[in-house]
Amino acid sequence: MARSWMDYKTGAWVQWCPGCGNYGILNALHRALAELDIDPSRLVVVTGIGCSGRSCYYTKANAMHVLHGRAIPAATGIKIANPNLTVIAEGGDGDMLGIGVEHFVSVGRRNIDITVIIHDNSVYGLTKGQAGPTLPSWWRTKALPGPNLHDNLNPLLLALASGYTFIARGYAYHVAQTKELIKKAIEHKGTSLVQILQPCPTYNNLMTKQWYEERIYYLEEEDPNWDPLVASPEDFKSKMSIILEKMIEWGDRIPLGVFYINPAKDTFEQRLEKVIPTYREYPPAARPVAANGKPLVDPWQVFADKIVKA
Amino acid sequence: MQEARRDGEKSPSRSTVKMCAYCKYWRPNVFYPYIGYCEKHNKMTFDTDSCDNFEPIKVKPGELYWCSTCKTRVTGEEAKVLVRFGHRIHRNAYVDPDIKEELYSVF
Amino acid sequence: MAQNNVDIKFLIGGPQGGGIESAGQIALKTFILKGYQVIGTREYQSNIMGAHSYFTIRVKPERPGAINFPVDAAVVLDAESVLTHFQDVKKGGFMVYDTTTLKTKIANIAPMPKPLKDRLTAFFQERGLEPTAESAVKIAEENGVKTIGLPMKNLIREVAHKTGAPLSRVSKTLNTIGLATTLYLLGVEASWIEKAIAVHFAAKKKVVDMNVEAAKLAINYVDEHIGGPCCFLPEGPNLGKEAMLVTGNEIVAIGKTVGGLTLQTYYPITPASDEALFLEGHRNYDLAPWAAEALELKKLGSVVLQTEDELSAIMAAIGAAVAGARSATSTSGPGFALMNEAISLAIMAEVPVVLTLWQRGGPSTGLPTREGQQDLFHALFSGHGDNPKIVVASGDHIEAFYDAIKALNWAEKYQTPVVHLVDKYLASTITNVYREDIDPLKAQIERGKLVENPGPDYLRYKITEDGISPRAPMGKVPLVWTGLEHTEDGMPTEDPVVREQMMAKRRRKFETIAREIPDDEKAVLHGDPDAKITLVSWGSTKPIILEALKILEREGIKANFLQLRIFYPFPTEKVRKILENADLVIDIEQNDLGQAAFLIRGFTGFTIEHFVKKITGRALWDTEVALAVKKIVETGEREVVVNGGA
Repeated sequence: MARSWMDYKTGAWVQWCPGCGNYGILNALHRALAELDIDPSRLVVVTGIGCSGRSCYYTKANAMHVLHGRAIPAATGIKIANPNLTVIAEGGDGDMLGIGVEHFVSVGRRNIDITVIIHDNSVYGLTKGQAGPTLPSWWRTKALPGPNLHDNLNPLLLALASGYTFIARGYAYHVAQTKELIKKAIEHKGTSLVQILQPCPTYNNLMTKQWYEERIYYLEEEDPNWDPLVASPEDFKSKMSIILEKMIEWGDRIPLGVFYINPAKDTFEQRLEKVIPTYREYPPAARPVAANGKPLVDPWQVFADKIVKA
Repeated sequence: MQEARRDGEKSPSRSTVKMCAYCKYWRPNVFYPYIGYCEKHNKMTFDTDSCDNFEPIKVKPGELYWCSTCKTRVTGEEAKVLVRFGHRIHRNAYVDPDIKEELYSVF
Repeated sequence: MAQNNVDIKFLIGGPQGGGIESAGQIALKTFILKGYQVIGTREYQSNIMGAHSYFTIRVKPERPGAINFPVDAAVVLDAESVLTHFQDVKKGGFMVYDTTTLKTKIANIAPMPKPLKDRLTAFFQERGLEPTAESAVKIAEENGVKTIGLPMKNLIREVAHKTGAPLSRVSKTLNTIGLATTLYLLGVEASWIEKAIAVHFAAKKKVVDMNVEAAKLAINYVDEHIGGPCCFLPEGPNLGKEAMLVTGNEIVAIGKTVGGLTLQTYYPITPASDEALFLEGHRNYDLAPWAAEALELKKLGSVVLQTEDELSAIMAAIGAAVAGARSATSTSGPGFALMNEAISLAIMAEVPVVLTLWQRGGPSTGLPTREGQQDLFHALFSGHGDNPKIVVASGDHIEAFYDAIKALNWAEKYQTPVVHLVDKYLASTITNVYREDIDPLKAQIERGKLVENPGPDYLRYKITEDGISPRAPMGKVPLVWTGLEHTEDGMPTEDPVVREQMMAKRRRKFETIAREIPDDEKAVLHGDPDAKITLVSWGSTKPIILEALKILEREGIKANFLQLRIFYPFPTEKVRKILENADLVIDIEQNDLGQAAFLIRGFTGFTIEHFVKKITGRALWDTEVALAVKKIVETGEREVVVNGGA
């Protein structure tokens, strides 16, 4: 019997504020997992710190709640140790693009096959609404004692520059569309990003539901021929300028959808397989480490290059 | 470098002595500068060797040179001053091709 | 000389990258082939090439425990080396230098550190001598050192002439000439030197030929101009015995591989990264016959992952561990500082992970390439919150091999971070090990309560009597690993009753660890247990202090040595009993705060009143330890700071 999205709920009290975008994101995730029929026993959800960090307790999976900013490296370790698991790393814009931005960048360089979901509300909710990395400069939410002096960064461009091979943006209250984006991201082989715009009714009184909904539109609705697939140098030449234009667009109009898919690059797991022939069959988490309690290795054989012998 | 400037070795007049040390094709070993690599003949020679292909180094401002006395790179402007104090100026230094085997992790 | 009396010390100095490393390795290999045991220590600066470095070697029939100055011989082929080491050779010893360097003035040695220039200039000024290499050679001669000037330029020319080789590896050839001269004068026949050269440059025939020619030439030169050695060294007691020549970095990597490591992460840092690089170089391996047969499997591989920083290194190691990998990371003090928060996570989430901490001189960037034992507090107190973890400090190469295996076992058995404390001295000290020293069949691989088939009722943090919950890797059943306080199923809670239960569970786990790891593993009393003087130390000082005990005994001072190996859980009763039995206790550490003494006081209430310290970042010598102890015994002095070595 196929799984229902209800099968991914854990029974824990979901403790977000009323009107929080996280509810939509969580539901979209559960629906995506159900439609992909992913076995919760083979699913890993790693979260950082922040409102979104609680997501791992609300999704039936192998859950791991780690440190602020460190969901991606933990997910990286898990995926490399067992490439047969489906691995998702979730965090807010502060978590992924502030304290953890070095990992956000570096995972792209590896193109490791995990899905990164950013719950992007431009504020730090759990600490009373400080400016997040995606809040534009000079904006001042009610929660701030003064205007934000930092410019906002563009997560899509950063992901592109870092080597992500799937880049999408969704909107938290559009569950059906966001579900589709998450599904495609999980199915993609390589590092995928889904940035999900999310109002924070408690602390962000500027980027509200109404504010977003006056601006957002879907790439493929506006342009029925929209094609984010960049599989060859020819594709790159013909499509990148428009993809970049859409990634940069922000203000009166905010595009949503899949911006970029590059299926041509090796995943990190494939790269490892090339240098460690036994990797796929015997990855670090699923291989013997001993034979009847005795070591597998005779150092005099494996490290024979250190033997001094005339 | 300042100290060394005052107290470089006394060298013969560069324009008249046609030895490898003053030739533009010659790069001294980074550690032992009395032996070096001749780019013209693709071989190692000694600083006091000489041959008919000798061409003096022309020091130009804005370019980088190797001062084997200071064991560092200097600009053309600096090189012109250092030469007067007897320092040896070369286009670059020569490093053994397998130097990696000799190096340590240092930071 | 009878083989049992052989005890040779010599140093090879030169600019970093200038062939010192190859020369040192060839020297070590020469003596191993000849049947002796060796250690070689490297002193080098935080510089890629050009700054002064030196390799000190000691040769004995048994494994030498320490180096010390003055040495029997020094190979100093550049002016800076002559000027740095002219007082490091003992009376009757010899110093091999290059005659072309004699006129070099101190002021013209660009890489020489200014404080040393100032000291040397003042030294020569006081004696009315010019500040040149020549004056250093003169002083050495006055001190009864035989100085041997080699006309390097001519000799090199002759090598080029004889081999017809292009001499593209000048630095190596030059040092081979200096080294061969020295080894020959120390009583080593040419044939052994040639064998060692062939072993060292194995695959590179041209390099072998050129260096063999250089060695021959050097020996002829000695015969013609200086006179050969009076007599040759006898072959050593271990002639023909199979030996590996390994650094501390390498032996830990070997230990981890034997110990079943399946994934290691790291971010480049000195003196740790050589361990990971060596692991990576051996990441694909054949299984030993016994394992291949049992598992019907021929080859396996481990992953070595270079991460973007140490935060990522420890987090990826933790992630791999929860997925079921036998996982470790490796770093030095600065990187370990970045790992602190994650250590706390691993304690709370009960993650099995090994952190190999290669200490170096701090604080801060401090002395990146020099020795320090300054991270004991850092290791023990790393991580916020109540933060128990296993901390084990290895005393020498052999211990480090077995500790690397034990650390992996303990991490998995007790589901907790294990800090394996090692240091720069161990990292870069190279020695021979024999088959019986690192025997894989003496090691046991343990994974503790690893559950391969958890049922639907599986509880990740099940409360148990011994404090250890069954551990299921990810991928079997939905479960939760978390850094928040949690109920048995891993769901977060702030309930006061559960909080107390979980704190108590984790404490019981450490009581289990304290009980299960035997006291003999935690602290070792070396020497006569009834001696009334007890020296206390930890880490790589072990073999040095053992040598110092022998020196002291010859001087009529009977002492024993308490080596602390495991700082948490601390062997409180054993340590207290040993210390209370002594009339005089002396703490020996390479840090300024007396960190182990501080901890001993905290755990046992015993206050150590006397200290020997070395904080220069240079290798500790057995002789200076013995002298310092003697001084404390004779004068009752509270603290003696030793500082040997350039």
